Amino acid sequence: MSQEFPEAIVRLDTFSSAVWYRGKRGRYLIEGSKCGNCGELFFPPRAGLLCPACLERKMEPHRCAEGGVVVAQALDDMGFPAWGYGDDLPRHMVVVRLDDNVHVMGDVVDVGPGEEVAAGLRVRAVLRKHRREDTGAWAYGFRFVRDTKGEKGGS
Amino acid sequence: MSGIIAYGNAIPRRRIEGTAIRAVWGNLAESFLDMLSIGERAVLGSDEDTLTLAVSAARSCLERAGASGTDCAKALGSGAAKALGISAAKALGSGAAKALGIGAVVLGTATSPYASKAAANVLKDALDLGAEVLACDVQCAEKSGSTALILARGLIESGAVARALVVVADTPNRHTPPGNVTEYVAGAGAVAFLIGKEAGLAEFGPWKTHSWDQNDYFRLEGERFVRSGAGFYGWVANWGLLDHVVPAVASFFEATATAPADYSKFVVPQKTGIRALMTMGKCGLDMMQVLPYVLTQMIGDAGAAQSFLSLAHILDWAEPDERIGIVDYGSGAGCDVWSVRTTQALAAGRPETDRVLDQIDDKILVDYAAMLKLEQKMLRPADQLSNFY
Ligand SMILES: [Zn+2]
Repeated sequence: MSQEFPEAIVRLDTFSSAVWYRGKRGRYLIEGSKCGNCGELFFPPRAGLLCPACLERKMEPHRCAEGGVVVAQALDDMGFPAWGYGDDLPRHMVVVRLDDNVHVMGDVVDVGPGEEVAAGLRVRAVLRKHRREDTGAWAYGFRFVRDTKGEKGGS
Repeated sequence: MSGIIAYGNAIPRRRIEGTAIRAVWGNLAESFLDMLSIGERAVLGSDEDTLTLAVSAARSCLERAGASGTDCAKALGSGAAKALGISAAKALGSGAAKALGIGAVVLGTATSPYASKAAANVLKDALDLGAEVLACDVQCAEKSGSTALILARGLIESGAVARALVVVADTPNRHTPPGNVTEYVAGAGAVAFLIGKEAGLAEFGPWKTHSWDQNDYFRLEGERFVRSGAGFYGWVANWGLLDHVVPAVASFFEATATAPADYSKFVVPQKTGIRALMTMGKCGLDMMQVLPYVLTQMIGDAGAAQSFLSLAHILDWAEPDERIGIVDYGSGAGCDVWSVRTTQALAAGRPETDRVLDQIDDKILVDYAAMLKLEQKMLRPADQLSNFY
């Protein structure tokens, strides 16, 4: 019996290890940006300091809320998933409005038979294994699961 | 003095029934299912591993301790935090670590996703605990958790750090070869303890250990699957079990001047139900001290995390001022025995959601083929990029 680890390594250079590594705070903690002047929130984080809303240069890191509500969903059941996402189909791809009103895209995972994923579903972020990098290292990041504990948070 | 301030637990949602495994392999007499307490066991999702379970348990633990990760989450004011008078941390960056005084994160696991890289650092980053916090992996077979806890207690009791986060996570199911008898019981899970100098919800008592090198379940470098040291499951493994557990428990009772009757509950090794019964019988424990806290028949054996899940389950329901013993055995690692005594704070501080039994009840049953796929046990070509090419 082969003892080789069978998880596929993504060999396309679309996401290099360096890019995955630099983005780890965004993936682990949903860290985006917040304007220190007008309070506008951004995810993914902005590259520069400039706020497009008030033109002030006071952008700082901001950890987004970990809970939120699904506002849009698409079921990927075409049988032709994006590279590296073929292991757990169909995919429930969603846009989530987090409790601080930041919108992020993600997957809802651990969906059981008869459980519906639709707008209005309360979800919370969990850390999951996204894929293997081209070097073989594991890339972890947030995904969403149904939140059975209900509403909490919101500033 | 040191104690548990808060705890959190995580169990994969997916499960498989022992009968579904037997339907494929037929490699176990039907009567063995009952004899070994084989019911259902946890199945990993394809995106779950030791670290993802560790992060879930640790986030729940910190939340219960009153530290929320994000500045938007309200000061949660959980029962545990209130009962202990910890003001809720409402901070960015490493605020949670600073507010709770966490100086060390110790991850106990025998199934780290990396052979050499510190998985505890991924855990620490995912909790946003700050670069100044010591991070360390402890690998000591199925007693990685107890050993990690004993080391972290040392850091606290010596005054080196104010508080420490001990996370025990294990995924023996992904490391069990198809067709092996251990496939019926190997599960996964994680528990996190925030510990500190105070008695908290439960105060630690003394510990004792007993170990030597035993040629017993191990994984070789670069290999995914656990090998049996002597070929027949249940023979050398159970012999090693009693060789370590009996003297360890005896020396524990002697050192603490206590007897089995002084403990209301006991957590015992439970890779299968037989191990729990053997430990119970040989150590003079009573059925009612042991059997209600054996979780194997519901979620299988979560390796290093199993005895911690049992203890978390006990803390979910225990009364104040109960003495609870923990006997933790690891293959080739020996046996650690320790105890906790619950405090008055437990009555108000016990969790009301996401208890161990809540997580056990919240499940999705999968069949054998799905389990093989999800636990990455199917041979696949190395050049495959997607399902079409
Ligand atoms: Zn602005």
